[in-house]
Amino acid sequence: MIHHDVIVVGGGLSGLRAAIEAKRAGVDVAILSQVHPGRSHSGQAQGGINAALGNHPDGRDDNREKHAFDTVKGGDFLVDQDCAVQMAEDAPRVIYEMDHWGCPFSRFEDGTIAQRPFGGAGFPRCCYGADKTGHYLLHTLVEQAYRLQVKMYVEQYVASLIVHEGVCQGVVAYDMIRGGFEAFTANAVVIATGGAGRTYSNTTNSLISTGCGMFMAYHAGVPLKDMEFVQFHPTGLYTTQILMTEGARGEGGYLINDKGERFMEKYAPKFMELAPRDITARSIQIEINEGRGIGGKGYVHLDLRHLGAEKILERLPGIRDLAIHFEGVDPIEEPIPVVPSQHYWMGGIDTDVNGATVMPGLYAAGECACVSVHGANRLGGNSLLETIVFGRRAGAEVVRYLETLTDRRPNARSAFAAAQMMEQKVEELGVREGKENAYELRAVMTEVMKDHFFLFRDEAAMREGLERLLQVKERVKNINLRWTGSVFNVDMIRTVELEGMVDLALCVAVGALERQESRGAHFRTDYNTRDDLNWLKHTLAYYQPDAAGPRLDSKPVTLGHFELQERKY
Amino acid sequence: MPDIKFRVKRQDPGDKKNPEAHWEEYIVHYEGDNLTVLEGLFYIQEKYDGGLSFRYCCRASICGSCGMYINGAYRLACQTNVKHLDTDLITVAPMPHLPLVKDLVVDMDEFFAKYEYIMPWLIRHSSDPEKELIQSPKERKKIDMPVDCILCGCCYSSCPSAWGEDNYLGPAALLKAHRFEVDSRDEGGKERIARWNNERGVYRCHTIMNCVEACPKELNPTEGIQWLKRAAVRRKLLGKAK
Amino acid sequence: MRAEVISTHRGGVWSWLFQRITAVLLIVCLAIHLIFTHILNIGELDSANVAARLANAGLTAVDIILLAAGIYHALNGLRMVLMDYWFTSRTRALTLTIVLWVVGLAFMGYGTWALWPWIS
Repeated sequence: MIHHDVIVVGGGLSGLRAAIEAKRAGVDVAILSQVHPGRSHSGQAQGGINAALGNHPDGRDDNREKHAFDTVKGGDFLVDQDCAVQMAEDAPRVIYEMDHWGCPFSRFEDGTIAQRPFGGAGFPRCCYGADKTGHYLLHTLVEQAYRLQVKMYVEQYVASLIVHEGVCQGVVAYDMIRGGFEAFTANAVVIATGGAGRTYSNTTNSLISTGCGMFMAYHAGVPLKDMEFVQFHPTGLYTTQILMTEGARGEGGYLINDKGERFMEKYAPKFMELAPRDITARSIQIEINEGRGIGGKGYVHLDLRHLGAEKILERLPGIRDLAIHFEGVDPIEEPIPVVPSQHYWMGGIDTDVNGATVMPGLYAAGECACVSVHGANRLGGNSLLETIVFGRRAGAEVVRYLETLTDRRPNARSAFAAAQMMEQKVEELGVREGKENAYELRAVMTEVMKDHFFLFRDEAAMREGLERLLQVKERVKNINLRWTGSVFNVDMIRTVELEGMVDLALCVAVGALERQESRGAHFRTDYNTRDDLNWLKHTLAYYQPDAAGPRLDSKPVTLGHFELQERKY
Repeated sequence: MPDIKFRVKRQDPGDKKNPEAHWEEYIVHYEGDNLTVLEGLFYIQEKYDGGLSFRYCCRASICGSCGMYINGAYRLACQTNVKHLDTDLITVAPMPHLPLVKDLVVDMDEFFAKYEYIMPWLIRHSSDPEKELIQSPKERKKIDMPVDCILCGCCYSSCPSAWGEDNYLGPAALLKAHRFEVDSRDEGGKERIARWNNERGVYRCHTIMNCVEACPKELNPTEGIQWLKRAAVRRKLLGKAK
Repeated sequence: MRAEVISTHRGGVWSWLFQRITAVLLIVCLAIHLIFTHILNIGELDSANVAARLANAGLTAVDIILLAAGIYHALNGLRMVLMDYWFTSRTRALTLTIVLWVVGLAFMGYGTWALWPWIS
């Protein structure tokens, strides 16, 4: 058994930022991460991070209030407005801080941080480092974590929470290098494990974006919020769904259909290609569905050729490399085939503006949390911002929480029992007589999510999808491991993940069926308008150990800063 | 579409019955004309052998997890399309010259210890301004190359100077030192220079340039190291590195 | 990695710099030496001819520099190679360096002694 005051699960931007904040306050903090923190999914973010710095010549009139408003409107008013205001308020200082820590942002001629236009934003406020902003931010925070000597347990797969009398007191983790489960006790746990993109087969996310933090908290009784809102990015590569940044359109790229039209003028005449992602993604899908995909196939073109080689090489070198390596297309010479792809998880663990959940001692930040600042649809450039703003806030909140504690000794018996339970569970996975194959089930689940809970949803299709997910959940009980070795057992990790992912998929399915309206990323062809009268509220999903699906509840949206209005771009 | 043969180097040092390295062959079937080596490994893991271990994460060549030795060269498994290897036999081995954990997973502890040793962070002494630190596009351009390093370890594994030499820092750590020394915002010359400006640091680099060939991101660690050597001379003679 | 081992190693910058300077000197001086010995002044390689050439103070100076640069460059190169292998610790590396300096100075002394009549 290993003890630290604070344990942060996940070494991406949120986790690192939370750990750094706690460490700077002198708290003994450790990060547990499935991969080395520098390899986290945060590093895949490309386009940039929003803050109303006003560095861009066209952005001199930008301010934090406008940033908050764009965020609220982008989220189709399901955003808790006080949280969005707080995020926009914190944005400049956290970005300046990242710069002081050495983040290699691109620069304007006057030496200030460069900003580019981004989807759904009234001003160019997206700070960027070429098209590798996430990579640069991530490495900057990894470097700071090393500087501050934050303890990092690398390649530890966190499998469950230790909960004693309703208080979170640590986690149980599988040591991938040395093998075996270990209990890590703590006075507070921060979950920062990212989204669950891998529940969809067509996702831009990393292979480790399985939502493990979400289902751990969910299984421990913490509600998940707004799970039906899943973002689909307009431009993933056609064959692999690897992300082609919104920055490509921010720099002036066009979306072109088979007739050679910039079809976005039909759907968002003012914002064109820079409409929010939900609208752009649906527009692309309509073009494809109506036979105007390129050559009648299932994709459209992202055309960058008119930007010229110089601009592409300077501002978008990363996506050029990706297009060449993974699609065999050089954007300087040819347009890139793109399709809408699952990208981001607006929902997540229900937290307040400081990352606190309903369970004492348990905090969450980043994509796995739902504050909610993204509402029904996240704006590009706000997710990197969210990770750092709310990572920092969660780190600070944890320190405050520790000061209120009188008894700091976690219950050893609970910790021991939790570790033993995981060991038994895995042992049982190895010996049981199941005939099911985890990979087939995973494929079924991810295809169901793609086919039934994608851009356009309707009652009948979703009912069928839910049925099939319930079947998967039933079949998951009959999986057995094909390899039971202790070191780097990928088979075991992927099986344990699958069980939780099915539960997350069910939250999406049940929530989406329940919400009879269209709002942001959740678009129903049978209820195709926003219904503020009945549905201006958050969905909460609670785990029910005895039932297949979640129990749903709701929670009001915090308004008060901006008037509701129709969402047009 | 076609089937392709994978030859994968397997070894489980913890397996008492068979702790030795051996090669195993698998037929990987795929549709269309795109199959990355990483997808091939998942296919093997899913269809043939759940015990196959390898690192994976982003599958988009930015996380640096899947550096391997594929058909005689250092490559990222996710970035390598079998089509481009132009062969019907794919051999996959772990990065050589590093301690093995299992199958394709190597021990990177030493690699990161060296990374940490060169103080890979921006060192500042003056107080920070209220806004950003001003850096001209020309100054920013100087860090273009080294900031793209993904710490995959290919260069480190390929460097003959680092083979069997525990105390040589290796190309990745030194490139990171270069990344900060060359950054106009960094003020850490005095602290950091002692870490790399010595006979176990930059002067173990004999410009063999394997690292340049190995780097899947097409970076040039040797250039960074040579810059450091020149910077050390500038500091001795002129009192400043940049 | 043993941080304490690395941190005991200091310097290296002068040896790196002089290796490059001596390389340049070698190219220049060797060229002059070869031009004057084998192209401009082709004759019997006997004592009288050599003596006549060395009577020129400039050419003697070139030969002295060639000697010094050659010895430094060769032995420092050897030192670099050996330090990759057995001479990895600070103590071993220092011993090697001292031994090579003694050897180098001995060569230098012998060469200078041979040229002494023309120098003086």
